[in-house]
Amino acid sequence: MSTQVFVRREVGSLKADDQTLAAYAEAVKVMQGRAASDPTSWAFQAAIHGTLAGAPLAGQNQCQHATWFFVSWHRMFVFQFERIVRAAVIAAGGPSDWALPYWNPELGGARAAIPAAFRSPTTGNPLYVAERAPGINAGHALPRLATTSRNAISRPSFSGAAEFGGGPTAALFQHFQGPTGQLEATPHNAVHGVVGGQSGWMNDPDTAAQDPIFWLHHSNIDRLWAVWTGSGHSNPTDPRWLGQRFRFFDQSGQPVTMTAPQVLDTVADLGYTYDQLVSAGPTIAPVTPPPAQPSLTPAAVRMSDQMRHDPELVGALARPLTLTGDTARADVAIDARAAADALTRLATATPRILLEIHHVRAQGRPGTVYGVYVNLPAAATPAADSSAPATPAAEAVETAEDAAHVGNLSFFGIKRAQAPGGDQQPHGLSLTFDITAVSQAQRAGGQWDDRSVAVTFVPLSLIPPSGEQPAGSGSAVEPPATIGAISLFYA
Amino acid sequence: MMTGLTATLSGGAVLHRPALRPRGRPIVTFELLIAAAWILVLWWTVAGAGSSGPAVPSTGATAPMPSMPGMAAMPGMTAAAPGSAAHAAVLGIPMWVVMAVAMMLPGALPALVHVSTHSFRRRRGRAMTGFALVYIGVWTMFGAVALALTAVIHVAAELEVGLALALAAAWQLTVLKRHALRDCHLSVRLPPRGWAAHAGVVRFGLVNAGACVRSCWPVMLTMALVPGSQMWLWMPALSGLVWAERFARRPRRATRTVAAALTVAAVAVLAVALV
Repeated sequence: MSTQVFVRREVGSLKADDQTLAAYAEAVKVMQGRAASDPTSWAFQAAIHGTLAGAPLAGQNQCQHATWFFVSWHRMFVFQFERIVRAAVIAAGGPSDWALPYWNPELGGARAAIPAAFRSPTTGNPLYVAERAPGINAGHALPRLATTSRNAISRPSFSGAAEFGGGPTAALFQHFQGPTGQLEATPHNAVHGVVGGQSGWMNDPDTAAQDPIFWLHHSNIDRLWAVWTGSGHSNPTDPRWLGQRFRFFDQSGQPVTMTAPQVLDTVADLGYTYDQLVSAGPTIAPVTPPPAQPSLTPAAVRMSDQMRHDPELVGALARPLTLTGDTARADVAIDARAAADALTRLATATPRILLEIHHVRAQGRPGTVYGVYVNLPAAATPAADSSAPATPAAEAVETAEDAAHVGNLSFFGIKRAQAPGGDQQPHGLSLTFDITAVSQAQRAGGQWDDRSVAVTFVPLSLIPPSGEQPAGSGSAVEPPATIGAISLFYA
Repeated sequence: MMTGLTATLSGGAVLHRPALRPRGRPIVTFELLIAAAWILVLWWTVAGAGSSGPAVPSTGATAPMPSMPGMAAMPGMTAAAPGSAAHAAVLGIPMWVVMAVAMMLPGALPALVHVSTHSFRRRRGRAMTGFALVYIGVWTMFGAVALALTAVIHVAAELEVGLALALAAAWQLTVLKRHALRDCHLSVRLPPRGWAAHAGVVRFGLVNAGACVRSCWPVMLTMALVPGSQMWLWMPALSGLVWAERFARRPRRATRTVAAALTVAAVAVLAVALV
């Protein structure tokens, strides 16, 4: 490994005369001109993630989602892509220290929209694609709650229910099956869903990597993994995670096999770092300090891959809930006897509370990303979340919605999940959220009801620049999605 | 074996992942049941191995009854009178049920964990038992048909087994088989209470067992044809193949590997039968 350390920089911080994006655009054009069978071509690199081709070539269609390989596989994938791009940049006379920038929409303001260089439909701009959600190419900002890494970064463990990285993946090596890690759910899936919308490339793993913004988004996701590990958290030591081999192609088009131990330290192992290894830009400061979470105790942190207790089902949705692009609410009744039994068995009055949303299915590919709220006050229920991260000061104020927000539901990957090929199995999407802190805060505020939990799904909308109208959803009708089950567990 | 299987506890929409993995062993009863079934069926096999030919009485001069292992050693079974295919099926059912528990229920353990995790604790026992009864019930219905069918086949046992193995090997390579194996990993939502909860468990049992039967029917048809004296060999071997593909990381590769193994077995058995 070269001793040179490349620095990936935040795209919004690049100076006007910086050549990083121009060089990237030039390299994209070069790669797009290569034969699709060339592993260093744009088409092939995108197809490594996913392709709609009926007969993918060897090494294609490999993306790892809803498994605990999500972060490691994508780090390897983006690293090899960056090497290919850098080689093309250098060949074209560009800077030899070129590194892939990252897009961190969590920084808010203008940075919550995709960079202007990617939105300009100038003829021949290889960074522009039309296949994005309405409003994205007009510079509309991503909704704050879709971009926040706060929940993911706060998770104490890598694997386990509602933890940072997902998994553990016990037996099968598949693409889409729960449990999804919190980083993958938000901001990863949420940003994919919001940028891609109903028919854009970014909202489908089989087309997502064709959009040049994909790589900057994943550079940011990779950065967040580095932030998480850099703040004292531990990656899995399970040999199943460490030993899984993945195949990519280097800048010469030669196949290379990689495993997680080769990519754990970006500087020492891979020779790159980030300009900022902090959790995010402006974070949402809570109005009141959240109560200590049981899951954040050192003892809990040490219990990396395990639940502290058997999860005890205490409530479940009686009937499926259909989402059609509007706000929808489901009341999950808590079974008094089951709850009492669980508290006795767990020997605690303050159990960890998990919300599982599962058997999520859809006809087609819904483009809406929903914020998931627990006991959202009726007065605070927005028609659609439109909270714009306009200024840091505005972001410092936690709204009533924020206090009830536990995560997001994106339909990124649902088509493939339901109609897989190869070794994949058909299934619905599944998400698990740890709502312990939210429930404790609501209990302290008198908003928690031990008999029922209201789960509200609120569409997250793009925020237009000042003075502009919100973008419509286009002419397409939102395909209905069905939440098959919502389960509440004490653990 | 049980340790390996239960490492795949599930709790989500797919049965192989521990979204909400219990640390306890809610399925220990079923693991013990499986172990007991293996002990029983192997004991029957050993007890019946002393008899020559099929371990069950013949239904006639040229039409042996289904050769369920050690059935001669089962109380009352030696007195079975010659009769129809249906009669033969009925006689073989008890043994078939034990064999289905031993060979097929292990593949349903992740489903049982799903049922356990998504049921209120006070309902877990009933729900898991209901699922298991439906699951084994479906296999029993298949067994009745298989046993009746084998009772009317009048060829040498080795030839029957060899052809069944060849059929199983061919089935492994079909799209239908691949889809069936994938469907073995599906779960369904389980309503929390009332008749809807009962119906949900029954539906899940039917879905899971249906996929399992579609995936493994030729293998179990082979088991219906295997002479009792050879059960000690075929039952563990075929069980291993079934479990291997059920819990494989790469099911497509596993099905092909199992197809190769079944082909080798078929060729070997047919060679013996025809030489």
